Amino acid sequence: MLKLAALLDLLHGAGITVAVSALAIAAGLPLGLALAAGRTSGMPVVPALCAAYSSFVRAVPAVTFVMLIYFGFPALGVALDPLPAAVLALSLNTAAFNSEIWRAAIADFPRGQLEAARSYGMTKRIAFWRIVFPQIWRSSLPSLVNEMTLLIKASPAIAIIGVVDLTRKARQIAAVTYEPLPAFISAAVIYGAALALVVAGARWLERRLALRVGAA
Amino acid sequence: MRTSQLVRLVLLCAVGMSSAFGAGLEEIKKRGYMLVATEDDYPPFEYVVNGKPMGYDHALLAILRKSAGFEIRQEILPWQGILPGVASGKYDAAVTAAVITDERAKSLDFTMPISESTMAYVKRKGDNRIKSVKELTGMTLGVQQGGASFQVLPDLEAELKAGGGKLGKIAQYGAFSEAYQDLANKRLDAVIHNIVSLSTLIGEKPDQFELGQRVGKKSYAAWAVQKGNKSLTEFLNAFLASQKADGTLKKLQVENLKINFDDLPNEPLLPGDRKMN
Repeated sequence: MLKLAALLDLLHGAGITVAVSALAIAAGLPLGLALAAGRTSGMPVVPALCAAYSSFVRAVPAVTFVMLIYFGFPALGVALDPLPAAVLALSLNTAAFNSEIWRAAIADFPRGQLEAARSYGMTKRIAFWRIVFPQIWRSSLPSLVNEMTLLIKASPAIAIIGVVDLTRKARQIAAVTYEPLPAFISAAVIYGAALALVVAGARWLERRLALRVGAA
Repeated sequence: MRTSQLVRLVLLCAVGMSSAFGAGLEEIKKRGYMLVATEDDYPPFEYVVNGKPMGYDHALLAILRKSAGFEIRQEILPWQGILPGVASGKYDAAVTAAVITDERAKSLDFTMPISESTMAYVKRKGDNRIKSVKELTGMTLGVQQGGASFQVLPDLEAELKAGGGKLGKIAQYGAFSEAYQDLANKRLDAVIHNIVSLSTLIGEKPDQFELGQRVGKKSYAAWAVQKGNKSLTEFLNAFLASQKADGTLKKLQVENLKINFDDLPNEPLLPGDRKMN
């Protein structure tokens, strides 16, 4: 069993995991939407750039991406502290995955509705915010929530630059006690609880939406 | 391993993109601080208990802080990020027990040794199949991926072959605590690690494990700086030499490492007591 002091230490790591993940989710959702909008915009060059970004980031393992930002960016004149670098890396990472979800929803959107909105005189921008967005965010919600849970599970990658998250705390405790199992099992239970909260929150939101607008 | 190859790729990119040199002593004095990186799960050298960094290197760092004349900032991170960080110039020095190897000497400069770091093996207590290095033939061994315990394997293989044996299965771990767990679980027959860390393990778990013989060439652990950063290397060497001369180094070894080394050289030596060229 873990001692109380070690358990509190572990909870401190859990706080870091939750805070960094929450910030990355908050930044990654709009960023992903912007990328998807860029890809479906029909402007020159922009769709190709957005697609290249999305493919690159999704292909690079999270841990490599974190190192690239922390150790590589100073050469470009951007030297970040570990915590901001961790949030930035996870935000940019999850934005790429989110953009694919948003893009699929936009591509699936019935063209007829859009044409109707345009023929009422709405600009593209107004049509997007009034007609398209309110519908796609509802249909994308389950996939977005799934990506949030994946992000939380990818977050231990930030330990490589010295951000002590839940998994790293468990490893530190394992290193001094020479018993990895109690620390890692405790960490697994905390991860489980955090993910269950995210999923429960999403379910609640879905149910409320269903009541308000009827089953979509 | 796929991941370690990618990490190496990033390291190469980072080194390639970074400005040619990390901060020399002059530059450190001008900016007012030195940034060092230490590890967080490497007892007895560096480890963290309830958020507080402890161990041999921290004891040395505390003394250096008093005498340096400039601030010393510290970042604590996993081993896998430390040497890439120093090689790319993100950190001025790795204040950790980095084993001096031929491969690392190509991309990093080392201070004088802070400890011997010859590899040895540890086995389960009472495992009578293994009495010496010779009996490691065909056994399943645990090592750390990318670590010195991995790099000693060719030496061990040569030693076993000379006695008519062969190298058995090798399992690579990210952290030694997991390797020890697998040794206790009988998934491994022995774990290879440096003699200091194993002495500490035996001190903590005398009923479970037993220290074996040394494996491979005699080697040393030292602090690392970016290749070519002479002024910083000389500064750190002068500090360590003074600590060795007045007996502090030995005292800290006894307190922290549970083993002490009287014959540490005053310059970094490659495995097998070979001079740097």
